[in-house]
Amino acid sequence: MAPPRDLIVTALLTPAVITRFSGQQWDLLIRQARRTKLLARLAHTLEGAGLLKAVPMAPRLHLTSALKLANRQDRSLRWEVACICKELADAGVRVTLLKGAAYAMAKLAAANGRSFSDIDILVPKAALLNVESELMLHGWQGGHHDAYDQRYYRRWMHEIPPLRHVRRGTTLDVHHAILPETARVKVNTSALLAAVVPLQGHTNLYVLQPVDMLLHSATHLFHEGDFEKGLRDLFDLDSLLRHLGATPGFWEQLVPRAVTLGLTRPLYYALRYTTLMLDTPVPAHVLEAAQIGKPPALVAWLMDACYVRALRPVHVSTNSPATWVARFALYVRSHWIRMPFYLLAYHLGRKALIRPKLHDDEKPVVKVDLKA
Amino acid sequence: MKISEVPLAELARLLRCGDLLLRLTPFVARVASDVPSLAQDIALMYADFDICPPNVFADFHVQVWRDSGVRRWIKPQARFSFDGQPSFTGLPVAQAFAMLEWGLNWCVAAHSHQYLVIHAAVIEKNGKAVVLPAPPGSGKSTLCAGLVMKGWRLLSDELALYELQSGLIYGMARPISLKNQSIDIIKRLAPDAVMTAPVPDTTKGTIALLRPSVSSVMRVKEPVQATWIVLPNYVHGSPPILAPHSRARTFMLLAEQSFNYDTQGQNGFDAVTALVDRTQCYQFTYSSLDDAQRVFDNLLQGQV
Amino acid sequence: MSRRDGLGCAVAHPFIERTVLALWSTVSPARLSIASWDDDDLAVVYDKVTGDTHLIESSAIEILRLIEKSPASAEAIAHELADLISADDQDKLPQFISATLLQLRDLGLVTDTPV
Repeated sequence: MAPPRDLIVTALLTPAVITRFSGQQWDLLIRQARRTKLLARLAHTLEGAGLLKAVPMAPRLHLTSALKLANRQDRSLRWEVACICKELADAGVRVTLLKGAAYAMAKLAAANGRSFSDIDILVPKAALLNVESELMLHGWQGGHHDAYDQRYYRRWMHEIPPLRHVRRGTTLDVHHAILPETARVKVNTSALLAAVVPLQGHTNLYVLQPVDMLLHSATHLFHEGDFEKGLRDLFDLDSLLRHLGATPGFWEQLVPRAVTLGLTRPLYYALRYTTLMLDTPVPAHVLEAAQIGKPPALVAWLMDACYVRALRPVHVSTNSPATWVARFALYVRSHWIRMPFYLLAYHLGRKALIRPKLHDDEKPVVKVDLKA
Repeated sequence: MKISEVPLAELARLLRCGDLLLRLTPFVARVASDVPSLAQDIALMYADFDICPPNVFADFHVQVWRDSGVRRWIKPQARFSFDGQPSFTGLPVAQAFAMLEWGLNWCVAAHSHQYLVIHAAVIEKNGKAVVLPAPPGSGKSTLCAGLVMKGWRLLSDELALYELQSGLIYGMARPISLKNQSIDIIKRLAPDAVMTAPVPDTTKGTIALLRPSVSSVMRVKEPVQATWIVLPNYVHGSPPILAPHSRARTFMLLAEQSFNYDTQGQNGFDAVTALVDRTQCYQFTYSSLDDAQRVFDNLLQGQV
Repeated sequence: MSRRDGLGCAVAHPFIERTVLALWSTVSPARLSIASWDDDDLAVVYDKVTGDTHLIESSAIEILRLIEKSPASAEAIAHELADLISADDQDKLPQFISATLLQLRDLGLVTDTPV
């Protein structure tokens, strides 16, 4: 039996309901939204529906605060992309943006209210060394990773260790593929790069073509083991499907392209869970064609049980043994499909023994020592 | 209803259930804790603050939970959480109240972009207000506490909430954090001052929190228009020197001492410009609180 | 400052030469917000595109205001601002302007285009 729909999902899908919310419901909604990094998106949705003024003052201030921060991050991102383009002008590569940066620069609805931390770019593997050295000449530095992490990234992952700019303080992830080398699915990166689309009004700036953008997002979410951003990523997929679905040929190309790239399984999951959990409108013939990516019946049933729980907001209000089990199972699966068993055992064993490092976006965004 | 009107046992129960809704104008915090001493510290320090009725919207859900397992009995530790997400370091249980204060500061500073949140003390007397921005170690809190004990209204010791459009500054009139020698200095200056018991061995040395005056708390809803910006500069043995300070440098200090200056963008630049435009900017070098009191009263009377 | 080499030709100091042979302008129009005060020899500038705030000398503001209206060479700038400074400091002006322009360029507030 599937869990009930969470408040943040209801509010985003049918914003008009908020006009009847009590103080307690607002309390829960703002908290769920904040934890799932959907607060600014909620603000954007309410503003677009002309409902922001109907929100009581106290929660409204949190919504407008989040919007302010998101707008600032958007401006920051645009400047950062401009700098990176300039820095790679002599590198002889096309600069292809991925994920959030791509959505923002392509002015897609998926970028509305999104929080940006890193910038992700995709370059051919052959050009990696050249790109890395050009970036370092312009002030980008590798982080302080130990030798194991460096080897892990360079040998097995689909990206080099994150780079940080010495002066601007921003982080850049340079990918040479969309999945790790060791993953069981081998994606044809050359095919992706051959089909990139230039961004109007910019020099040497590209994004993946619409179907590839969708497939990348789906691949990313359904290979992921950490669900802190799970619901946000699902909403990204929903937004991409709604928006890109209007581009000519999108629905016709989607399944054939997934077949070409070997990504029918993540496409199946993407369409399954967006339609199931977010009522995303997908043409029936596309859903039917995507069934070729469906796993065997037992696995499909198991994945349903896991994902409808794992993709719920990661928040105290949704904590339950079932959610925990689902997330753990998918965590193990994500490592399983990223690397062969012998590497998996070594990697997990090592991680368990070393104190986990914190991700930057968990740290409070405060520069001054508050304990003064 | 005020905290002082709630029996201690009931306060402790509310905390354990996470049902204590503390009004920290302009915010509301829902506080949960299983640390017994925390109920006592809240009862003492927040005596004059209001409790909200149940089920109101809370801006921040904060928790201070004791660590479980071995840490529950041996060198017991507690940890601050924001809406169920714990902070990285546990601290000795004796520091629970200080942890709550720091945690609440973080909540406000990180999430309240309706204000430019400046790390500064703000005090007011006779309708005139002084903003004292200062990096840690400049003696700001001691100076602030000293002046508040001698009749100045406390708006804030840590977080000045500057409303960009109106140019008005709000405070929360929350307890002032004192450390090391400052604790004794203030005790000597104002023997009636109400403080928590000093807690040794924090990362900042020994700290104690000083309860704000009742009148400060009663008037928490009244914002101020800043008249002066004064950068405190404690120098051992120094006579009091109030020197005019470059407005541009004051601007940069305010921007650096603001938690969310960058987020505010152009509006932040314009707001700080307006603040610096309409105030007199000084640096105040001093070593004695008596001197400070005299100088500030002179400032009030237009005798600089 | 130029110096004369052994052949009697004026050889411009390379530091100055770079700035003299270029047109200086502010980065895109209306991008900078400036706040300055009469009683202060320092001022602040906000760059709307990068979001950075800079502390600079008030004299640099004069240069910014000048080249915001229309791009100019370092020489032309010196000529315009000559009236603002005392006779004693006139000979230091070209070097000061060049140094300031390079500083402003480092901050990303101005650009130079070779003539």
